[in-house]
Amino acid sequence: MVELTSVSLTFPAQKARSLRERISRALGAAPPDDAPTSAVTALRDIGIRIERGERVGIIGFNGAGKTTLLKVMCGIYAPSTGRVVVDGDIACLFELATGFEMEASGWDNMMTRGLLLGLSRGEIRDRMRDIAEFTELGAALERPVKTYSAGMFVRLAFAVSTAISPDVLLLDEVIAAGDVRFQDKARRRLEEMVDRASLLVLVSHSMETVRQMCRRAIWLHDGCVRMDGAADEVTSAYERLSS
Amino acid sequence: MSEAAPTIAPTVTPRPAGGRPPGSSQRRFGSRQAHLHTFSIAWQLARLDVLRRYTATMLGLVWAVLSPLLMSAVIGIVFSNLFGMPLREFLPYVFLNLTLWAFFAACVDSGAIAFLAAEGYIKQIAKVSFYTYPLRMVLAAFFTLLLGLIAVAVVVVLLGGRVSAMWLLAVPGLLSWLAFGFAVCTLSAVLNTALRDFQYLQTVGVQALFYATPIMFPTLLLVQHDLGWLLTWNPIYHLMMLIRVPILYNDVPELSHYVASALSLSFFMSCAVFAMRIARPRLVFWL
Repeated sequence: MVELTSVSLTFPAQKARSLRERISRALGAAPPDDAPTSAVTALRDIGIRIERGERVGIIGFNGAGKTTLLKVMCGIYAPSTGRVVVDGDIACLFELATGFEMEASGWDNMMTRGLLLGLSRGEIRDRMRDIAEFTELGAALERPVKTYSAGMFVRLAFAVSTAISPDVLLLDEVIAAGDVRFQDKARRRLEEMVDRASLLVLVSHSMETVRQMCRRAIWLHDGCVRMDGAADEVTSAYERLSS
Repeated sequence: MSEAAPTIAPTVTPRPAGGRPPGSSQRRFGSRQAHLHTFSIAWQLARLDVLRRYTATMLGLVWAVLSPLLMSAVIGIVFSNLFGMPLREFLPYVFLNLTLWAFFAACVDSGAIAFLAAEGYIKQIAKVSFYTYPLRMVLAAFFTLLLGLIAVAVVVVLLGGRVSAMWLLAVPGLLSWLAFGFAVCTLSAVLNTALRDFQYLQTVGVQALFYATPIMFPTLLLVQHDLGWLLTWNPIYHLMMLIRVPILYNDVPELSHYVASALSLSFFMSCAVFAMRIARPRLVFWL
């Protein structure tokens, strides 16, 4: 079960405010804090409840807050106001090409990511052969990952990230991993993972995918829920507007 | 517009017991198992850091020991003449001090980048304790410290020092030093991520502390110049004495050092925990 109660999220205006700015602000040299800044409200008063067994698609234009919503659900972003309750073991899949130890080998990165994802050393060792086989990286796994191509990074991260079995799975967009053949393989592996999960939230721009995989869809617009209902209805309403 | 404080952090309620599918990674936050897992991630990252550091250079591990030893030799020769102290006594003293100091400096410096270096993990994988990242830095620095201490022991023995059971008394001192390093590293990590300018202030502060602490000069020098208060209020001095006295003088450190160490350790630990509590919901936005 995933429940969001009147969740809002405002990104702080600056990434990290510098000391100079704080001092000049304090001395009155810089515009006061309430001057219009670049603070972005990404989510406004979101209330969503997703039950066990549901498959939910999140749709909307770029910048509507879809990925932000996923990050709030899995706890990467704490909401500015409101409450997030997740029942069960949660995992999210996105931005697969970041988070590596560049000087370390593919094997070592496999272990590191597995641990970060919550697996124990033993569990990872048990799966290493399977993961390695799936990546098709072969001898390249011995090399430092700084020598890898973008596609190789994604394959490695994807293979490890899909080796776990969370109850609640949050998926962002189609994960483009490697060539066509690999994508096919990746899709099958992802489907297996989805089958194991008891709750799926999927962010996608493909209405076809959403209709295929989900019975329910939520349309986000400008940080608000614009429509929440049966996948067929929501996606066709969305398509009518965008065409 | 000020940052609105989150009213309630996301809560994760544990699933009912018994229904754990294979590979499920549910570890209750704050449980013993969760702490062990945090340690195991930090250990893995630290291991990679150490390997990278020492396989990149030709002499590898040797540098970790050689550079403070060379430094101690230079300082030892100059200052033992300056203070009229026999080199035989002064060299182990400086070498031990510098080795211990190097750990502290490493904790402060690597703390500054602890979260920045982990940005890729923090922004993409939830549920990992933020303490993992300073802990990783501290463990790597501690490894170097242990190597250095072995070299110190060799130097002490070569220069006619005595090895006795008293040396075991240095172990609690060493553990305190490790805990202190962790607290300092965590504070440095939070402050430097929240406020990028802090680094400059920190560099000056650490340097000042280096000269205010008896590392390159005998402790007595401060007392003779009516600067004894510099010692009283210096947590690093007291913590160092817990290790220095058993190893160099085969003696029991004074109780006052233990008390002062315990007090400053709890103070810095509380500060670190407090800073982390403030940072936890905001950290990802600071990166």
